[in-house]
Amino acid sequence: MKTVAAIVRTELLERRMALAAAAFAAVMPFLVPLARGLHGASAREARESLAFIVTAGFASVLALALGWSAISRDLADGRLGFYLSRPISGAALWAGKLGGAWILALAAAAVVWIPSWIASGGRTVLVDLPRWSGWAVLAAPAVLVVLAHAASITLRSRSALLLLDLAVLLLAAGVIFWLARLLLWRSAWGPLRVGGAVVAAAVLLGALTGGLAAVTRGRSDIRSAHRALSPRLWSGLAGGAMGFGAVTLWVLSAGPSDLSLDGAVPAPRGSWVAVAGGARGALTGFLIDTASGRYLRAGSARPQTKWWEGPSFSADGATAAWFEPRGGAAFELVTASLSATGAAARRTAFETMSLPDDLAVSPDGKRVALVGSGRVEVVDVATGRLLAAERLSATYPTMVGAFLGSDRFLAAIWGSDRLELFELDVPARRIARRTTILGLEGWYTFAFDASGERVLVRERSGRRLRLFDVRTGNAIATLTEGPAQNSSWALFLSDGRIVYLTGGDNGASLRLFSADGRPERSIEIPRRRALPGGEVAPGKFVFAIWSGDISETVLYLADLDSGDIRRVADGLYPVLWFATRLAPVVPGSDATELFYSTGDIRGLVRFDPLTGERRVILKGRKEG
Amino acid sequence: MRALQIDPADATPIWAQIEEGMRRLVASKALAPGEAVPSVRDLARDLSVNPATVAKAYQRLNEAGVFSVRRGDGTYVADSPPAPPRGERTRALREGAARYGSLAATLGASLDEARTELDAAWKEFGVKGGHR
Amino acid sequence: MSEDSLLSVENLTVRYGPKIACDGVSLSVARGAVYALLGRNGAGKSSLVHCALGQRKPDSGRALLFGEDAWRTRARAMTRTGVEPEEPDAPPAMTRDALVDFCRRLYPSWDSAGTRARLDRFGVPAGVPFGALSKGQKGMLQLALALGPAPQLLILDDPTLGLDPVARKALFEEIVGELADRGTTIFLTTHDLGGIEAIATRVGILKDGRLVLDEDLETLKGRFRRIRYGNRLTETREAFGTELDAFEAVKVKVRGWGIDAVVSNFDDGAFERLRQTNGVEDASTSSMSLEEIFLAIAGEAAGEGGAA
Repeated sequence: MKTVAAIVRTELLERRMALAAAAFAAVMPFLVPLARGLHGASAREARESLAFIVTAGFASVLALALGWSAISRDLADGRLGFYLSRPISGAALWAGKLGGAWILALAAAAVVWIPSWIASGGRTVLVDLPRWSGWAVLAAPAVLVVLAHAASITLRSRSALLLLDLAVLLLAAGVIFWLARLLLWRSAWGPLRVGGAVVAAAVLLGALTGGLAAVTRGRSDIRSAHRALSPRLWSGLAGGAMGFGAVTLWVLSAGPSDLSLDGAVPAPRGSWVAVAGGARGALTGFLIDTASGRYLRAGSARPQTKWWEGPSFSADGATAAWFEPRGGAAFELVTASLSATGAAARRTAFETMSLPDDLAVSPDGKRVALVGSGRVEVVDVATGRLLAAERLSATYPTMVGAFLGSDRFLAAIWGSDRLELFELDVPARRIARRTTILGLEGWYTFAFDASGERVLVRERSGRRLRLFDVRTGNAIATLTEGPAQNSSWALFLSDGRIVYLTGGDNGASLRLFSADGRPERSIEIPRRRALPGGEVAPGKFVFAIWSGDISETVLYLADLDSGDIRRVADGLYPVLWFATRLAPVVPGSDATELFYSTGDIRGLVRFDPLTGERRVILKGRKEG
Repeated sequence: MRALQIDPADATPIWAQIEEGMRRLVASKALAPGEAVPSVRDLARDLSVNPATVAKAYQRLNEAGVFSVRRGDGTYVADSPPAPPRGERTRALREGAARYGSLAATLGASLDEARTELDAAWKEFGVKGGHR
Repeated sequence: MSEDSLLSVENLTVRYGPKIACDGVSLSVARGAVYALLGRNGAGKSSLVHCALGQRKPDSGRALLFGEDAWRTRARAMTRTGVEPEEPDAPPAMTRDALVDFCRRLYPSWDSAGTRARLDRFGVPAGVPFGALSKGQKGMLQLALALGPAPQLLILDDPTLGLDPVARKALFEEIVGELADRGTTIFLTTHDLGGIEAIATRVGILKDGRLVLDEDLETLKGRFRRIRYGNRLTETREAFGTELDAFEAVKVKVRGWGIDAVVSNFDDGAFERLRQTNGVEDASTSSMSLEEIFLAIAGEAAGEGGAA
């Protein structure tokens, strides 16, 4: 140790001019505000930011320069003899020289920083720095010194080994880049940071041990030094790449049990459900068979957002389709056949550069329609080729769509005061019919009946509910008109009747209308907000009510024929609450029995309100 | 020690040269009996010669009785340096003469020439008495 | 090599790319010896020294210091070794006292009084950065630093290079003093032989990477002689070859007046017989200085000719 100390002292003595230069640099933050004529607070701010920049810059450059020249120049020229012919171990020499460089850089930083710090009264108005920044400030020059020393050994040796070093570096960088993309596609910022830290630590370790070995084994020969350094550097790079790979693998191998559930979308029929959320720091989604527990990874994150694009189902629930990212900015359409025995994903050859607003699968599972950016495209799943493509709007409005049979597709442009409906004849590749529903006021939602001939439009927080003819665009009936509601939901039942669910502090009700829009019944429900579910059996409708806190929900079962409501469970609400825009859900399908369990953690539960049977599908997990 | 000179280039080992030189100095009374001789170290420094070499010469001189070492005191010329046994002395003289004669003959010198040179060398060594 | 060998190399081979600097060199420096390794520039001396000091790994063979592998035990061996390098390599900004202070801390024991006396003797000025000293002062200061820890083994790489006669004398006085006071074992390399001859006990000659000679100085000087004679019978090459056979002639020059030969196996008796040989006239012999012996063995640069 005292040998190291002696060498450190020698180094500081040899290079004390650096501190003189630092003293000059320390003056700059004071001069510039003066030169610019600033005063008071702005002058102080300018001085402090400048002091920070000059300190960081000066110390970094000094650390790099010292690390570059401290040992390797003398080693290359065979001038380490002074130390080597004395009882100084190679390790002590390395530690002393580089340690001296580190301390000198810190001392220079202090020389530049302290005058400004004192002038600010020992405080700084600069933005709050994280707690670890103190350590970072101390460690950064050491890191730079170690890296510069290792780099200078490889470059000064002028040996062909440098090419190999570069090759390994590029290979490792390529691997890490490729892996990082996988994480990037899933918005996995946390794992990326962890992986980055692992790589940085491994590379630093490789450079450090390599630089040390270069001195202890190279001694007077720069080429041996390089030969001793390179394998350790490669190990560091390889280790970093493998570590990053391990992190990536860990993230990508998450299963449904790791999921912190954001939301679920059930298939209209069958026991499959698409779930999405965060798992191990990344946005993740699965297709789960609630009957068997089998699952498939499905879906992708919309780049740069936390928006998850999950699978869409065909009407019979036998086919699901979604997009997977494929390098660059492209996405590929992927489909899966879902059955009781499992699911298998199949790539189509269809790729697009931007994700559509909505994705719909034809009833036979052979076609997929994409709507978005003012266009509708229909893709043949088997070949991946476009069957039809139509531009519906010059702008980029919000769009949704659904198949009416395999050859007809209904696309809707959700305009601010009008709803534009297009019926696309797929084989003929043309718009067969176009209807516009005008005069819509405020924010509205809509739902189609099973035939696609009628559409229900709810305007302005439930102030008006009307039934329209899809063919003509004319209003058939006005179901209600009244004051705004806290919550209001309108949907078709599979038999064509209409359910209108409203809730608020002034009153809440479940109203039933005939297919023509004539009121049939009104059931009073507890005064709260309401969320609709589906028909667990014909005429048996499930809904939930909640006050302000979604974690306190109460589930009810309404007998539409008798008008009775019965409380069936607490802490559950239907997964189907959002899925009411398009095709009605078949009564008794598995989707009607899927609920979110509330509380601290959101889970997925299968519950039969008629029998009370309950089974946990996903326990859920806290986020993070 | 001016009078003692060694020639590193000579084939004769340096220790032998020193030994011989010392003997001459003692024989010519340049070094009187009982007089202190330079220490090994001093002589080595003066001659720029390996002290071990000087030590070897001194050791031989000590063994031959020419020098005597007094522990802690130094080295001195022996009070009565011994004369070599008669036979030894004669043999040594004869061998020396033979070498010189051979050399002179090789160079084609005459006896007179050889004698002249001998005289001159004798004077240089400061031995009392001229030639006979 | 015995344990009493402080420095030895065994079958040492050092390569720089295709060039071979040392080729299978073996030598041993016994305790108390003063070993002078001679050789022209580029003969491989420095490579050998670097390997002996554990600063370079030999391509084959090994170097030993105090009986242990020099490469592996370098730092430990250096506690008992003093080294004066060929080129001054101390940090240029450090003054004499700073350097002494630095070196002092590295060793288990340090002769402070002796070092101070030495520096005064050498007249190295205080307060002057090392880089600003003259070459002679640098050399003397580095010698003082090398002798500070009272090393058992002193290694000098071409110590007289660039020194004026005064500095050279001071150097030899210092070496002699070391030998006298401590019996330090010395290994030095040089191609300048002034003054070494009187101090060395053993000599090695390195030629083109090979050790062509490794011998005690005394016996070396004993067997190398210069022989001159006229040969009346014939002046053909063949004729003189036979009469000098017994002497293992190293270099033979044919002059107008006769033969001028350097022989490496001189013997009085054999010389007498030569003189009796028919046709040999005026045979004479003279001893050779170490420098002349070295010249005869290591040769001039590419081709003989020129004055003998």
